[in-house]
Amino acid sequence: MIEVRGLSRSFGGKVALAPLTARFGRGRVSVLLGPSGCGKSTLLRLLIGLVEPDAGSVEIDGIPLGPGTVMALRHRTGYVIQDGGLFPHLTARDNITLLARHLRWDELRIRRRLAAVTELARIDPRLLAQYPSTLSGGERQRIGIARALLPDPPLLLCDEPLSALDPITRDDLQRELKDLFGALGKTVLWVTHDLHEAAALGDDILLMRAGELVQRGSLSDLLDRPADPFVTRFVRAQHAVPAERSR
Amino acid sequence: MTAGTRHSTRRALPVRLADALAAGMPGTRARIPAMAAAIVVILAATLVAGAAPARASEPALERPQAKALVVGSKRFTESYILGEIVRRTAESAGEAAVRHEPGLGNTGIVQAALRSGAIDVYVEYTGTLAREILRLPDPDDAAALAEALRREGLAVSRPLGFNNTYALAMPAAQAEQLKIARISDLAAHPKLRLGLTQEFLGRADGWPGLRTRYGLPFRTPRGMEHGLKFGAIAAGQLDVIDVYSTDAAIERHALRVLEDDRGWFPRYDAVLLHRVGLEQRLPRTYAALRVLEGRIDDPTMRSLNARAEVGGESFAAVAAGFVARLPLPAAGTPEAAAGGTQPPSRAVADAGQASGRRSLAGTLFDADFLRLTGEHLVLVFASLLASVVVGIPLGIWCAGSPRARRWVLAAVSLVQTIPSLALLAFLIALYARIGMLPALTALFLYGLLPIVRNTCAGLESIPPALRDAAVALGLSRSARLLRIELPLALGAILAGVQTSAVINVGTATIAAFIGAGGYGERIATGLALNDATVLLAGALPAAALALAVQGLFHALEQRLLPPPLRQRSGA
Ligand SMILES: Nc1ncnc2c1ncn2[C@@H]1O[C@H](COP(=O)(O)OP(=O)(O)O)[C@@H](O)[C@H]1O
Ligand SMILES: [Mg+2]
Repeated sequence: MIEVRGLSRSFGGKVALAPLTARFGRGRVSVLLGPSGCGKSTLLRLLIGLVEPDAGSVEIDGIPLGPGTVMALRHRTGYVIQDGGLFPHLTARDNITLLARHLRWDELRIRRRLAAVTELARIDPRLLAQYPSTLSGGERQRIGIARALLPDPPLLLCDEPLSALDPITRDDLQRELKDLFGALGKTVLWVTHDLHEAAALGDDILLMRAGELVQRGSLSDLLDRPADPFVTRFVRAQHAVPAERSR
Repeated sequence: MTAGTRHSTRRALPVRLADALAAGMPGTRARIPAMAAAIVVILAATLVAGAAPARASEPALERPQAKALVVGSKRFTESYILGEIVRRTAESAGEAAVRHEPGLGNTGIVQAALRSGAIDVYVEYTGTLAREILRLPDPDDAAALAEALRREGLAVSRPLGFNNTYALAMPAAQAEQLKIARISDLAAHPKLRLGLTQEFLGRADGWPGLRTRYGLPFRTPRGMEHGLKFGAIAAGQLDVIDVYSTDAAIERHALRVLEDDRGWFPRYDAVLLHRVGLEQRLPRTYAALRVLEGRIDDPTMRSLNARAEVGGESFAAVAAGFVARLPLPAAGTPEAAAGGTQPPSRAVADAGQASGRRSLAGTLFDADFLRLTGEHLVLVFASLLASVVVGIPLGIWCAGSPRARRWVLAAVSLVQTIPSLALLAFLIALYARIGMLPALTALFLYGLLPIVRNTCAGLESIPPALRDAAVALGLSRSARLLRIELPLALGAILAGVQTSAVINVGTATIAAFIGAGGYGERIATGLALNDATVLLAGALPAAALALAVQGLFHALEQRLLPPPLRQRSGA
């Protein structure tokens, strides 16, 4: 469970995240939705300690995020970004097992865990010896997810992980990941600007605008009970089909 | 470049700086204090790191002990020969172990070596002492010169006999035809083509003053390197050049020295220059050296020079022949007098060997080839190792801090702008020794910039998303550096190290000017003797080594870089 209290951050006078108080339940997928630049990534980066907050606090499973706890919390958090964020000088296998080697796991444990996450992310084992530059976008993304899953973290932060993929690959992965996260019981924060994707992933959607949380609810809440004209505009702009269907 | 460095230093600021540093050494007159201070700051910062690895490979070039005498010489034929003459004469006293450190760069470097005690005596010219080193108002005032030297703890002998001053010369046949015997005769021939050394062109007592004194009509004469202008005049490309009055090339090229009929050129009498106290420390040796006073007149010096440059005799042999005829206690067998313990200095012996007119292949793979190669490799790779060990951490520091980046990069860039001879002169003064240590330190300092800059640039070019991914993964600072950032920057770092290494191969040839050996010994000798074969025998292996270093780094890249990072191999 993630507890966020009054968390805020500005960059040079520009508010990236207005004070936010929110709670994300254990084992749930929550989707951060909103136009580009509304502060979605900043929230995730605050949660993983890539950005320092101006004010407010974060507590993850009862542990307050701070200088003394950030390393341990990172090891309990998987972070997946666009295109996987893979290190180009390492093979797929070395990318996945990097953290385990850094933490000095023994060989057997590494091998077992590698086999497990490779299967979970449905990676062809023959790809493991390849470097990221020789893999397709979808393959890279699967490797990135396997890397995030390696320490079996209770929390996953996914920052537009599918945005760089073609529609078909994207659709497949979306479905697959939803099932995977559900089966593993992970707490997931998923960032997207795509309403389709948000709707496909879950019923806890946080719609943001200019650093502010505008409305939190399911897709039908957003469609039927918009908290603000912006909600309607955002939904309409992206989503002619469900809007019509809902009539 | 050969004899051109002898009267030295008036023109180039950097070389003047070297002199200022050398002259300022005993604690008096730092002439360009701001620049000197800047250099001291940079050097001090890197010195500790530089000295340690350098010392490891330091060969035996100790400071002179009580019963030892180290003779120095500058980097041109006459000085080499005189150095050998002084060595043999000193040995005849049988009092001290005498060694000759030949070919020590320019005036700034021998001065630094003398004042720091790295050498004890060398032959200098009164004009150079008065004008360049002491800056006396009247260069021909012997008493003022002696007094000024005494204040700096130095002393000179009486003149050895010859006056090696500047002169103008032209082909004897052409001079005959045009009826030119004196410099004032030139005024009537404005069409003549003058080729003068850059040094002569720039010095106040050179071309500018000469032109005014004689009302010469020539506008801007061509600037030429000393050794090359003889070839140019022989080929009919030039009509009048500046020469030194004892130049062997005067006879070799049948030139006529024009009379200085309005007495413009100052005297450049050769004298022995040493620190005060030599007489008390080695009285018999000192007495033997004084035998040289008045013994070498202009024609004698010119013929000694010609025997080495035209006749191809070794400096040692030329000197031995001359010393044998001196009225010394054990005349004729100077080696025997010294107990036969001191072989002639190696560079001089080698130079003599090489200067016989032999084939390039023979000269190239001469007996000294392995030694020179070994020395050159030590110079290049020991200093490179130090540059890597210091430069990569500095580069990492720069990449992490904009402040460090600004200051460190400025400092290592500034080092790059210090001319090598000036830097060497400074380091000799600092360490009070010549040879490997100052040479390695200089190469180390020159090697820093490419490594620091490339390390910094390589690290900075890593995409922020990758840095963030490494942080978010939960890697510690050191693990990120070792597992992610340095490997990603490795291509750039290797390229920087390669650049340093290749530049080092070339720069290491200057080490010969301060007695550290390497292929530069042949280049210096070839330049001094005006002998292209010897020069090539030094330049070719240096070029081959540079290519080999390129190949080595290419192989290293293929080895060390993971395949996706290898594209850049041509750069
Ligand atoms: N490191 C940074 N420096 C300056 N401005 C930033 C930085 N990170 C984010 N911002 C600004 O904060 C705002 C929110 O950015 P971000 O959280 O990346 O938006 P989103 O992920 O929703 O597209 C944007 O205006 C962005 O320009
Ligand atoms: Mg974003």
